[in-house]
Formats: sequence, structure tokens, C-alpha cells
Amino acid sequence: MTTMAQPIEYRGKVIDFPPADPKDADIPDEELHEHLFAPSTDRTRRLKGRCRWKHASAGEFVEKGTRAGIERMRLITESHKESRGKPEVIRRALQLAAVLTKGTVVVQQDEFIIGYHAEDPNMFPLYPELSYMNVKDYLQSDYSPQPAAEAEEINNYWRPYSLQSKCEKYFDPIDLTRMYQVSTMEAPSFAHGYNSIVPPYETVLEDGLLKRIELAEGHIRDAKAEMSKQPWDGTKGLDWISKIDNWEAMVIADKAVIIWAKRHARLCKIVAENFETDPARKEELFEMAEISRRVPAEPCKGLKDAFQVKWYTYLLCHGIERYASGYAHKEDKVLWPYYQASVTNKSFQPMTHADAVEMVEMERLKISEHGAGQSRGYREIFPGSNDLFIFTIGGTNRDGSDGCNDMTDAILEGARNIRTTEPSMVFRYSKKNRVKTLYHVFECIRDGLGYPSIKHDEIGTEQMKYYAQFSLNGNGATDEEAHDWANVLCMSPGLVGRRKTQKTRSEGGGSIFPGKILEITLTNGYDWSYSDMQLGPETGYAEDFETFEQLWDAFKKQYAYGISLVIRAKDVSRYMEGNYLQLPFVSSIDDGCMELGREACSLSEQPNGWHNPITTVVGGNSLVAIKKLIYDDKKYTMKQLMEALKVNWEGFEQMQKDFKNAPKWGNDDEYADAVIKRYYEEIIGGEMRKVTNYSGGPVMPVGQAVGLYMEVGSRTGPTPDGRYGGEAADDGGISPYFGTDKKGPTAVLKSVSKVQENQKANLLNQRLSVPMMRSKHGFDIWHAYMNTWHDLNIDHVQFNVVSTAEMKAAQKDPEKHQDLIVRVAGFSARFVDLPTYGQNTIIARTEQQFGAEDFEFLNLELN
Amino acid sequence: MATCEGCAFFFRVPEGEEDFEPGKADCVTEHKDQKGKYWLSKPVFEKTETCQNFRKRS
Amino acid sequence: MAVVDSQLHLAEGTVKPCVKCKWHISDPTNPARGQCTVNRTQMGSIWKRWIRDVLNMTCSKHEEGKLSFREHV
Repeated sequence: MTTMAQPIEYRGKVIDFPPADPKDADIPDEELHEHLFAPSTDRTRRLKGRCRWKHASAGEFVEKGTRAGIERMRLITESHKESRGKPEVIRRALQLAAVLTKGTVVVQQDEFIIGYHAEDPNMFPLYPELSYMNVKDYLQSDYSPQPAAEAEEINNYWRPYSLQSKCEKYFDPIDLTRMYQVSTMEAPSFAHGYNSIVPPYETVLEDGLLKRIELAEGHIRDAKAEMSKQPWDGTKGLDWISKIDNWEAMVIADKAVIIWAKRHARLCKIVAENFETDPARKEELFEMAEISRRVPAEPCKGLKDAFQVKWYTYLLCHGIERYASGYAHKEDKVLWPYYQASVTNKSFQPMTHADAVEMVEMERLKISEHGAGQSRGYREIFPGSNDLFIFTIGGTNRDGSDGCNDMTDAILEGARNIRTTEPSMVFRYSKKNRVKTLYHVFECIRDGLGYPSIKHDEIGTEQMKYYAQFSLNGNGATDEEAHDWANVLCMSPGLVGRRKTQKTRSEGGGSIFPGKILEITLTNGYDWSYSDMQLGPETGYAEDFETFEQLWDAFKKQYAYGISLVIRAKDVSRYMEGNYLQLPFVSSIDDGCMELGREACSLSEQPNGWHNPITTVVGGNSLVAIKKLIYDDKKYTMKQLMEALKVNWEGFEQMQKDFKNAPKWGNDDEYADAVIKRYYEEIIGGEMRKVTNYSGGPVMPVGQAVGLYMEVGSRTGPTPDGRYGGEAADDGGISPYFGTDKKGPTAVLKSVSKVQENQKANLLNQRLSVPMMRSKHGFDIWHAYMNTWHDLNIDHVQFNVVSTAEMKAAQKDPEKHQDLIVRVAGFSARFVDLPTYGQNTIIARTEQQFGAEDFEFLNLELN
Repeated sequence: MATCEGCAFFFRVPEGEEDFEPGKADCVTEHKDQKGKYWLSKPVFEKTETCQNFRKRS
Repeated sequence: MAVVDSQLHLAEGTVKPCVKCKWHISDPTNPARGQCTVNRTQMGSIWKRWIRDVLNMTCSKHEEGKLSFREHV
């Protein structure tokens, strides 16, 4: 029997909470998620049943048989050796062409959307041209590419040419050691290879690659004509050289992509004619062959074309030309014209809305098989998932009208039906959104998927306008273009479309850890609890800080050192990427690169600088506790606190309780919130935005967590917020520390709404009551909550709706709970694939129960 | 020494294809594991030495 | 400085290097370094320590083997 929410007396009535679906009443709490899987067709049921998941956890792959392939490494190495003497961008294009024309192509039984990025669907590629440490880690693991000796030789070959080697020499080895530990700062992306991108999908779907080739060839002709003009002017004429090289690289890349797609077409036809016996499947294979023969060479005409081309583009940008995490695009916007052609008008590839939902489910399952050759660190911080794959829907169109359409609904329905952790999605919430779509959003959340996470549409749009003013070539987003944004990964808005999108994580991304920084601030920048070395500048010992302001200033200095170092690391990487890690295919599909003859990593038209503070609330709550108990109430001295911390509170149990019970963030507490507001605005954001990045704009904080709150927590000693050494840190950029938000969900909103200045984004994790959300009043409560959230100008919120009973049952019997999904932070995970440590942090999250006071604040009408 | 030309999995690349070369073919093999069937295609040439998947064309 | 056996210490050529110990997990970035996870509380938290040299450091808590991912973080 399911648990029902207790009745509440509200506005003179007793409000009951019977389940919205009467069938829920018979489902025990412990197994709810196992009853929610509802694939729309037998085919998607089969595809999920045989999905080749590539979830990682604590650095290991959960499914046996997952391992790194060697083919991509081998082919780019052969090409690199053969292309000596050619311009670097041409060499990069030739490497891509080698992989696409000589590498293996894959088609699997039952699938309709085809394409894979390694030589076997159980494998994933590696990128020795990025980070030699990343590949070395694989060589030492159970997932090594084979033959291992050849892979080692390839990694050694690439070491001097790798992005990592090119960048490292510009840093003090001590600074590198500090960053590589991932305790006060994240390692630079040149050391681990992690990356993100927003591909201009629209260009490929709308133009087709033959048109892009024609454009580039036209530019080359014009450039050569310009170079031949008399009299010669060297100050202008020489500029054409790099442009010609860039356009030639684009042509090489696009021709290779067309060949690669047609190889898929041939493969489908060969399978149909020689291997497949089922007549229906034969016909389908012939249809798939026809699609890949035509696209992406030509523009897309229908929804099947669009899904296939989007998938090819995704593989190229995220797995073949270079590794990149994410799945950034505004999917309903990209697919809407083709939904209209196929579903609404039935003019090409006619289908029903239900067929479109099936396509969505199939795409989700393709993503769920996508293997990423991430570094050790990144295989730890997204536990229970393959990688981060996040797209965006909803929001508003360029003219400000509602951005939701029937494709939006198909995406939400498909996600709810098929229940996969990936891709995650973001919904841009605007008061213009139609209620029909909001209900679909709610149903996904209520079913415990953890997505969509919700972003404030107007905040994101205004942000794009704000950053545009810093454009280096005066071509930042227009007010209309500013509406076209998606989250680049989990949290930070970035433009989407044919131009001006973010092409590399060097523009925005990477983390810094205020919780650990606060810890070392107390000990003169020295890390006694993890690495036993000096991790930051010497800013004094806590016992010597006579005032809170002295502690505050010391922390500021530690943070400022870290933030300048990590942004410098990104910009040095950006410089090298533009010179040695070019992206000719991505450049070919960006209108700015095409027009200007520029390369995708080098060109920056729309700045979008950010960095992710993670473990921020541990730092903030610690400052509050110190100020209250040491400097204001004078109940303890700093010397006593430092003694207690050094012994992990052992023998100081009452002191630990006092520090644990000091005012905490997330309770609309005036004392705590005043300190923490200042902390976020003056230090976390204020110091960060003093930094100017490659693109000429400020860098601003995107408060996050992913799984780093567990990793960094385990490398952080005891802290003055009452934490013991090794305990997890706070699980969201601005989320209350789990279990310390005790005044209900609207108190959390009130606290969070106080932080407004100098922020780009802040992740807010909230866990909502299962019985309440699944009751007949669930949507009304959630909708009222969301409207209040919106009016309070809060950037983000994401939800867990999952019972403690179900999670504990899954801990005991993981095999029976394969469909239990939870929201970690910024991504969703299969609960049973999380380490126990991580599972316990989610169980510990406060399950917010709405009371009459909350309903009043939300101005909710209930009957 | 057997060459790929004699193999049942040797499928010539048609003339007119952008990646056509004389003697070039798609080597297409079927694989099966506990998750199901899949097919792999790699480029080979007539004179390429055969691999362990070789099956004489009937 | 006196070596404390129960704490991580350098022992060049040791037959019980951290890299073979079940409490060892790789460094997040540099494969030559590592992390020791032997410090665990009853409540389930894991307080890690950095290992500078996984081939030549050891301590008296060394146990050969490998833990499941479920027991790490």
C-alpha cells in the first residue's frame, strides 16, 4: 500500500491528498519506480532491454565488457605522421577524414537512428591528442584499449604534441600539482580532456553539407583573387593565408562526413540484402539507407531526416572530431520545422505524434549507449550515468512568444515513457508557457526522473544580452538572438543557433571549491587533512585573526588566487586549441567561421565566461558559525575550534553540536542569510568577475555540484559548520546543506532569492514529498511553487521525488530496482549504480513537506 | 595466401561513390553478444590479407 | 623525522605498495599519484589522503585486493 500525505487544515477546510491515479494506492512505496516504465512500442521496449549502458561510478564501469577502443587513436596517428609539413588545421581535417573514411561503421539490430563513434558498440574512443594522463590512466586500468602495447606507443607518440604538454610548460609545477589534486580547484581541462560544445545543429539540418562546401570553395576562390590583386599590400594580403587554410580544412572535413554517412547507407543496404530475413525490417533498412544517402549532404526534409542528421552531428562534435560532454541544443526548436512537415502537414516522412514519441524514445536510448572516454576524475563525478547529456526545451521564441510546441510535448512524453537517466533536460520556465506542456513537465518530475530541471527564462535571456556587450568583434547576441539559448551543460545558458555558440569548455566551465578553500584559509593556506602540502598563498593562521573581517579577507585572497589560476589555465588551453586542436567540421557549420574564415576555437563573438563554485555552502555555513560562536557570542575561541577540528571533533562533542546547530542557510534566517548573501555576492561572484577571459568578458559563478560534492567532501577535513572529516559537502550550488533546511520549502526559496548580484547561475536541489506530488493536488502545488519561484527571480530549481523507503529497499536489493532514478545534481543517475556513500547523501536530503504556511505563501487555491 | 576478394563478406564499393577506388570494398561482418546482433563495416581491398572472419564466397 | 608505520610513508621498493592495496583508489588526474581511502567512519564517510607515489609508499594497514565501486566514492 502506498503512503498518503496527511490531511492539512487550510483556509478553513481540511485538504486530503488522495493519489491522482487510483492505481497508485496499491503500489508499495518500495517499488513505485518499477511500475512507471511504459515504452510506447515493443521496439523501444526491446531496445531498452538490450541497451549497452556505459554508466561509470567511482571511476569504474558498471557493465562488464565496456572498454576503450584503439581504432581512433591508430587512425589519427597514421594521419598525423603522413601529414607532416601541412598547416595544422589541415592536419586536423585530415585526421578527421581518416577516422570517417577508414574507421568502422556500426548498425545494430532494431535501431532506426544509426551511428556510433568507436569500432564496436561496447567500446568508446580515446583522445591522446588531448591529455596523456587521461590515456595513461586507461592503460593502467581494466578498460585499456587493446593491444595495450600499441596503445602505449601511440600515447607516447602524442605526448609532445598533446594539448596537455603544450599548456603545462606555461605553469609553475607547484600550481599544476595543486590543480591536479581536485581539492581546492579542479584540474585544468588540458590535463583531463573534459570539454563541452554547443554545435550549430540548425546549420546542418537547414543547409546540408554540400551547400557548406560550396560556400567554403567560393570563399577560397574569392580569397585567392584578392591575394592576386595589384599592387600587393602585405598588411592585408597575408591575412588570407590562415583563412584559406581554414576554408580548405572545412571542405576536407565536410566531404569526409558525406562519405561517412553514405558508408552507413551502404551498410544498411548490405545488411538488408545479405543478412536480414524479416521483410518488414528489410524495408526499414532500405529506408534508413535512403536517408543516409541523402542527408547530411542535402538539407533535411522530414522528422526522420532531422533525428538522423542531429545524431550524426552529435557524434562528430562530441565523439569523433574531439571529445565533448553534453548534448546542448534547444531540441524542440531544432526539430519543430520537421515535426510540422512530418506530423502536422504530413508532406514528407508522414507520421503520427505517437511515431514522433517513438523517435524520441529511440534517441534517448542511443544516448544511453554513448560511451565517453573520460578521465578517472570524470568517471567519478557523474556516478550512475555515462556522462552529462543535457538539452533544453520550452522558454520563449525570438519574438517573446511561448516556445513550447507539440514537439516539446513529444519530447517530454517520450522521456517519461522510456525512463532513462540520459539525456537529462532543462525546461526554460516562462509564465507564457502553455499549461498543457507544463503538465507534461510536472509528470516527468512527479515520476522521479529528476528532470526537467527548471531554469528561469527571463534571467537566461537577459544574461545573453548582458554578455553580448563584451563581444570582441561587436557581434554579440541581438535582443532577438538572446532568446535562443540552451544550457551548455547542466546549468549555464549559452546561445544556440547557426552562429555565436560556445565551442569549447575553455570559454566557460570547470570548478573551484570554496569549502576546501575555507578549510585551508584557517591554516595559512596549508592542507593538513588531505595532501599535507601548501595549497594556497600564506594568508595567516585562524588563531591570529582578531576580527571576522580578517578571516573574511584571508578567504578572499585564497579564492582570488584560485580563480585567477583556473581561468588562466582555461585561456592558455584556448590559445593552444586554436593553434593545434582545431575543429574544421564545427567551423564549417558555424556561419561566423564560414563568413570570416576563422576557426571555431579561435573565434569568439559572444562571450560566455563562467566557472563553477562547488561546496560553497559548506564554506558559507562555516563562516556563519565562526562569526556567531567566536566573534559575536564569544562562546568559543578560535584556538579551541582549531583544536577540535584537528581531532575531528573527538572529545569536543558538545562543541561540534553547537557548531552544527549554529544558524544555517536555507531557513530564511536573518543572521545566516545576511552573511551568506554577502559571501556569494562579494566573494564568490565579486572576486570572480574581476577576471577577464579570452573573449573579453567577465567570468561569473555558476554554482553547481554534480558528484563533486562527494569527491571534494572526501578530500576535505572537518569544517566549522559541524561537518566531520570526509563527509560529503553541500549538494548544489546554492542548496542548503542536506538535513539543515528545517523550515519548509518556501523558507528555502526566501533564502535563495536574497542572492542576486554577480551570479550567472546557481543550482538549487529540492526533494519533494512523493505522496503530495502524486496526489490529486500535486500539479496545483507544484505550479504555484513554480510561479512563486519565478516571481522571486530565482535562477534554477531541480527536484527529487523519491521515497526513502524505496531507496533503502534498492540498497538491499539492487537487482530489483534497475529503474529507480534519482537526481544527483545537474544530472540524474540510476540509484543502484551509485556508490553507497553517494546513495546515503541522497537519502539524507530533506524531503520537503508543504504545510498551510507554505500554501499561504504560494497563494494556492485548493479544494 | 587468401585475399579478401574471395570472401563472402567482401562487398565492392560501387563506382560513382565518393570513396570509390578500384578494388575497394566494404567488409561487412555480423556479430552477436548477449545484447543482440550488430554489423560492422570496414574498408578493405581485393588484395588485403584475410582475417579470422574469412568465409569463402560460394 | 620518525616514520609512523600506521601512516602513509615512503618505503622505496616496498613489496606492499599502495597501488596494490584494496584501500587505494587512483588520483583523479595523475596516474602516478593516488588516494588512500582506509579512513572510514561508521556513518559511512570516507576521509581520503593523497598518495604521492603509489609504487613506493605503504603503511601497516595495507591489504591486497580491490574494492567494488560501491565501496568507494
